[in-house]
Amino acid sequence: MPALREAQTYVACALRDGPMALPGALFAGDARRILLAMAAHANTISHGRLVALEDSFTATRRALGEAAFNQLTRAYIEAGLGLDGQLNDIGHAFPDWLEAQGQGAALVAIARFDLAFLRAHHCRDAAALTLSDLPDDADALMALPLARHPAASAHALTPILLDAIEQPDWSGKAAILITRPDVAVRLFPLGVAAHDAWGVLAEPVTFAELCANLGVTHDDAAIIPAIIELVRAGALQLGTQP
Amino acid sequence: MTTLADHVRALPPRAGIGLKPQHYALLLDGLSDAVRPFWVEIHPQNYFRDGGVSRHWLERVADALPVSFHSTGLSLGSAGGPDMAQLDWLARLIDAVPASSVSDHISWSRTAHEYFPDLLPIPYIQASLDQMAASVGQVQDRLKRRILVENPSRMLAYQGDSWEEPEFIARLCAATGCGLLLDINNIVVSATNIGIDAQAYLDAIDPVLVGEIHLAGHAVEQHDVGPLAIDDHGSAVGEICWALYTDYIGRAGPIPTLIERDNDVPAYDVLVAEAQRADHVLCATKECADHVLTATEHCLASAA
Repeated sequence: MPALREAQTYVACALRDGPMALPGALFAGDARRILLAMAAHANTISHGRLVALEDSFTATRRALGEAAFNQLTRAYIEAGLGLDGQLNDIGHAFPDWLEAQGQGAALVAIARFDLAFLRAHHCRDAAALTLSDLPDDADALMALPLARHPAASAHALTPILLDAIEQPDWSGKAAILITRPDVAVRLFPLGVAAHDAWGVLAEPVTFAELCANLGVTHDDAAIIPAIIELVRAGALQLGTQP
Repeated sequence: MTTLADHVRALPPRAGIGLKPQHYALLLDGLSDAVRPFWVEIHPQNYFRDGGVSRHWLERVADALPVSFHSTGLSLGSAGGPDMAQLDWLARLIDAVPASSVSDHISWSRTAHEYFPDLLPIPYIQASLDQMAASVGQVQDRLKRRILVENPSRMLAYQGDSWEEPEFIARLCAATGCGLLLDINNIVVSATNIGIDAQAYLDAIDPVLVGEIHLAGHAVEQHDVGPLAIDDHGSAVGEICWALYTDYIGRAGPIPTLIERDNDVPAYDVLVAEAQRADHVLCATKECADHVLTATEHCLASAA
């Protein structure tokens, strides 16, 4: 019997590289049963990782088809990515890895959408700004600091993303917004002005600064409805006072 | 709103079920039903987040029922010690949500650089005992409470084991003050795979050590070299498992019992009906009404 650490290293190598890494004197019993048991452990581990990736990237899987998705997720695992932490975070590097593999930008965008959806689901709770939080006084409104809600993200719409999330009615829209202002994750289609407003909010700004930024490229009549669109969706929170 | 008392309440010696996301609302809606689980169990790793949808539901459930935290990722048997990141998360979760019981496994799941989503066996030798005892001690110190360790389902036995599994468990409990989460299905699986005697195994387990029992189903593959039992928690509890359980409870008295199902999870009513079968076994014991292992007698009675 080798030392404990050595024994576990042998087993880990065998699970990764196959049973040739196992010393003959480690396990008791018939060699064929030992191989069978090691294969069963390897299958359990592989299955757990692949299912976790399936559960995390549902839209990506739908877009790619099952066979191509399975091929890519197996390659991702064989590349050793995401294997050091919990299963529910195994896919954190998957979109970047897809990009590095030369997969198309549209597919990478779907994977980023899936990851953002998952992160919204698990994001820390935070109070979303509501319409009733907006001051009636114009000066106070203009001075209101705004920031993105931590669970929210926006994703430029492409035909392949529309198909993957099964929302064909949103085809004229600029982007999809993911929010979780309360217990449920929600999707909203965003118009061009609201999407641009979201872009400005990459850094916290006041209401007045947001309006001024949007005024460069949009009619005055479109600015307030675009901000209201984000507030109604639960995509914003109060920023910190300057 | 939970109270301070909720943080120390023990699991009732009745039947519980594993809490699944698809059952959150059904569970909360059915709390006043005559047939219902008396407690639930979670895998805390599924809630290792600062907030979110799952945490919201867990907090609501924990307000209504005792919750057992059955960890799968501390890797107590790793030569390098327990997974400290997971232990930190577990401590944070327990600070936020009351845990009536905390448990993990006699197994290992990680090396320094890789996490294996499986429960891999350890040899029953002095070095493993020392290492497991150190890890359990570390966890108990961090959580400021005693924990339960679950007997593993095994497909492999190491050469040169110094003790049979029940003896290893007894030594581990004696060394650390931890209790045992007795998984009877795991004993049936190990009996199929490595030829242990399930009845003799149970006869060797002192009920005073047992804080919780797991019942589950498993799959069996037929091979040229004989059957291989896979502990997949993917089917109803088998009759051999029920018979061993009934016999053990008849001897030990009522012990909190979980119907464990992680794959092919059935409808909520089906799961609760299976729990009710366990509850009938528990309530058939003459000690049921008196909770034979009282708060002062039980292995988890005093703080670690």
